[in-house]
Amino acid sequence: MMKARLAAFFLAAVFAMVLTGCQKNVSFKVQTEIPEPLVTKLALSVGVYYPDAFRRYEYTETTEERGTWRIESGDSQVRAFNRILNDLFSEFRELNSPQAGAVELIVVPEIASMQFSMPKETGFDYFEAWVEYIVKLQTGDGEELPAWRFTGYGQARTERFAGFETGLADSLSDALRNAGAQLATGLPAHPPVRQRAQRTGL
Amino acid sequence: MLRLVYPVLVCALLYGCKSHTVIDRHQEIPVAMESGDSIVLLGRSTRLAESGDHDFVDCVGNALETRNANLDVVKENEFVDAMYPWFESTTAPTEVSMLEHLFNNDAITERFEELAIKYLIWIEGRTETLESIGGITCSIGPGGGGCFGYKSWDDEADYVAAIWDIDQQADAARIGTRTNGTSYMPAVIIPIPLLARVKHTACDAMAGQIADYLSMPK
Repeated sequence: MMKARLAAFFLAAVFAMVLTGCQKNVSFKVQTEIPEPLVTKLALSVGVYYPDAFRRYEYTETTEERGTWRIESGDSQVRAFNRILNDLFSEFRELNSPQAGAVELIVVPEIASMQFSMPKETGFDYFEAWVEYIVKLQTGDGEELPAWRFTGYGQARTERFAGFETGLADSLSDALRNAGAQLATGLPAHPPVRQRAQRTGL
Repeated sequence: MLRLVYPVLVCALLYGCKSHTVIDRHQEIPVAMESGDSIVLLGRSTRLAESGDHDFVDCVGNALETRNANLDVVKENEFVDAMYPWFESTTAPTEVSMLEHLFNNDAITERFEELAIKYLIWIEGRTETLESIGGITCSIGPGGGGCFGYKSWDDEADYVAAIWDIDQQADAARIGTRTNGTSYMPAVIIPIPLLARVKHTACDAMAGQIADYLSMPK
């Protein structure tokens, strides 16, 4: 009788472990280090305003196939943008509001969407992440300029014995690095920014 | 049954795991390496939505350093970080003629000089399994367990290295290696993998050719 109870308890424990193991409850915070960009500073004074939705950006998803995901990336997004913009413009500061201020250009980044794909979904041996940004621009006088859209893309190989979260986190970290590279090379070439920089002498 | 299995095993050991490599080398301009010059190897993808084979790039870099201790090989990660954001997957130059535009940026020129990069070597390609046959089944029971069967597969490692001369901003040479090999895995209770190391063989062949090119007299 005792043996039967022990066996039942053991089976129930194994069953619970299997069930818990299959549920993908993913929750992590993205960490990204962006290297110092090799860029020539543009002679513009620029302010950046990070809306709360950007500063505290959190990706959430709950589906039967993927389980529940909660991925925080706001801090890393802000650090990446500050890193690039600070090196891209002769004067740079963070603004507390998107209102007109004593700067020539105001940058307001937004995240339009974030997507992931996993090896078991694509058949590739790597995780992928996409982050689509809209960079809204306005002059210091409050005149709205054409916005600039771009997508950061990242990949991370499936590491043997590494957790599922590691692949997701690494692909998103790579997407942020790629977004930083596009920001550093693409924003100076965006016509409203380029024209203003040329007007001020560079 | 064992009378049949052992000869198969012996044949597989004798003739199996063989690989053959084809090398294709095309040289545009002579080498001009001097003391203190360094090279960097970078991986590049040949397919959309696929990253370069960085393991292979590391393997070739290590093999080059082993062959020539005086050769200074800058690590791929170090170089890409030092050149950020100009050598990322979406921003890196795809043709040697694009270097001219990059070198208009003084900061990039200075960084190349600091690292003393003489040759930039792009490595493209992949290792893949072309075909596999057979199968192995494993079972476990109260009296023990084991596997039985036979499986074999053909792998191909196909890589091309494009060597760019930084000073001349020109294609210096192009080296291709293609290695094919068949691996076998007979299983009689225990699976015995007899692997053809095609990637490693291709890596050695590529490193040998690059080392040979770089050591050629001016």
